[in-house]
Amino acid sequence: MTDTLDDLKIWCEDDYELPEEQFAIEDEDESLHPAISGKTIYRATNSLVSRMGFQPNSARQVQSTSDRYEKGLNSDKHKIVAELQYINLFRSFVGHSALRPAQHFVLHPAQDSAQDSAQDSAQLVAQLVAQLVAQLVAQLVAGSPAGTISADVLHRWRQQIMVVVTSLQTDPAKHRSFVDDAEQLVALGKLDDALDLIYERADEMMLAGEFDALNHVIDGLDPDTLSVDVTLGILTITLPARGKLVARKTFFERAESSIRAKGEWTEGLLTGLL
Amino acid sequence: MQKVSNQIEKPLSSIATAAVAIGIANPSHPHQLHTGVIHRMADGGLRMLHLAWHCVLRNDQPEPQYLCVSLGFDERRLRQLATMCRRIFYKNQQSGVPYGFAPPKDSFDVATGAYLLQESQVGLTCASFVLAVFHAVGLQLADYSSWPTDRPGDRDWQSWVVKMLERDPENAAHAKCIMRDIGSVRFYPQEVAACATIASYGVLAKFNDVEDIAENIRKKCQ
Repeated sequence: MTDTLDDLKIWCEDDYELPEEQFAIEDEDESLHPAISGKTIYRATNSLVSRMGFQPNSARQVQSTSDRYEKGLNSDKHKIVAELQYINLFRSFVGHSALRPAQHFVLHPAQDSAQDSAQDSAQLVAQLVAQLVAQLVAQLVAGSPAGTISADVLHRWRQQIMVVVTSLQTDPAKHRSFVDDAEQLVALGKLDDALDLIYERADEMMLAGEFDALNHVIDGLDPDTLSVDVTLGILTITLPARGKLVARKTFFERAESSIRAKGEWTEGLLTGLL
Repeated sequence: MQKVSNQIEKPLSSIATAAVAIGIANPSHPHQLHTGVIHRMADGGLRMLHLAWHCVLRNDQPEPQYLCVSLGFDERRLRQLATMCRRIFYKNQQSGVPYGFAPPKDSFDVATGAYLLQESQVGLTCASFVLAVFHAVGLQLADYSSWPTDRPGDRDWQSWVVKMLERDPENAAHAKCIMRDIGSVRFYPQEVAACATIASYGVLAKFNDVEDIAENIRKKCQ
């Protein structure tokens, strides 16, 4: 798996052409969506990657679903349905047998089985995402129908793959958010890509109405550890939703103090962003 | 005016992140100026994002006849502006942005970059498009309320736009829709460029502040 990830990383960074035979799709992977196109690949990868910290997140989601059952909060059905859909997202890509622990939990949502199920599914998800990425690259290299993948889509897709690959290689257990991924891109000198990523992920969360989750992300940010550009990106992109993001005001205030403390303040830098 | 330069005085390569462009788009219509936002792309190249016509949003290499207006904002804020330009183009390049006479505020969903088409918001001109892009990232250039409405020639120009739109049957419904806005405030491209010369954090350009600067910019474009 490591070799595969290394090759993927090289491909993403250096326009390295993957040898097709190295990434041939195996027979057992026929469960991959048959009508796959460039757009579908992009959306699918995007959906996977945008689930911030997919490993601990999947564990947490399964666990929290279980909690709701245990506490009798069945009125929150739409949440549970959403989380089952989340599990189904993976199932749709990797075949019905791959996420057996998660499926078991879906059928038997009890507290005592949740922890094991969550851990198992988290581990599987980590492996399967890597496999999925390899499969999708193979599909792409093998030759998708002409015109289905634009250069722009390919470029964005590469960025996302690189983030996934890097996160799998470094610290898979670490909770990640799109802001972490953006900072990683900043560290690689890809500032514009980092800002594009922040705008894109925030876009997805706002479109999905995930204001609580976005608020949670902002609440967990420490401006001292963020670059000024990423801080500005977060404040800019969340500007119209400031009424729905209660953590944003505190983040704004902390951001100002932090930027001043770093000696990077210029007069008016945050004007218009409160 | 020292912030306004042609590309011989100041080559485009000197633009670090973003600038406002102003010039004559079509030499056969020398009195009609056009404006857009020049921004640096992730690949290092410069593009000019501009609303060329109804649902024709372009992100071209800036043409040599355009003057550039340097901006008085921190480069880090301009980087957000450039990011928003990419986002707006990415989200609207297929459907475009409608042409109309709506005010330039709350025109784009800052999160998605998509043009927010609503009953009171049916389209922009090239000039109000530029104002709207800046507005979307918290860098409002002008005090819109200080602009006069119904100046001589405004109605004629707005009626001409409607007439041009009506030529294409596909745009007939939209033309009918914006017809009701004839007489509403019009921002001229040179006025937007003039706003860009004096705007800074929290300082919104008022019409009276930019009138003379705009006229000088217009002359420099000729």
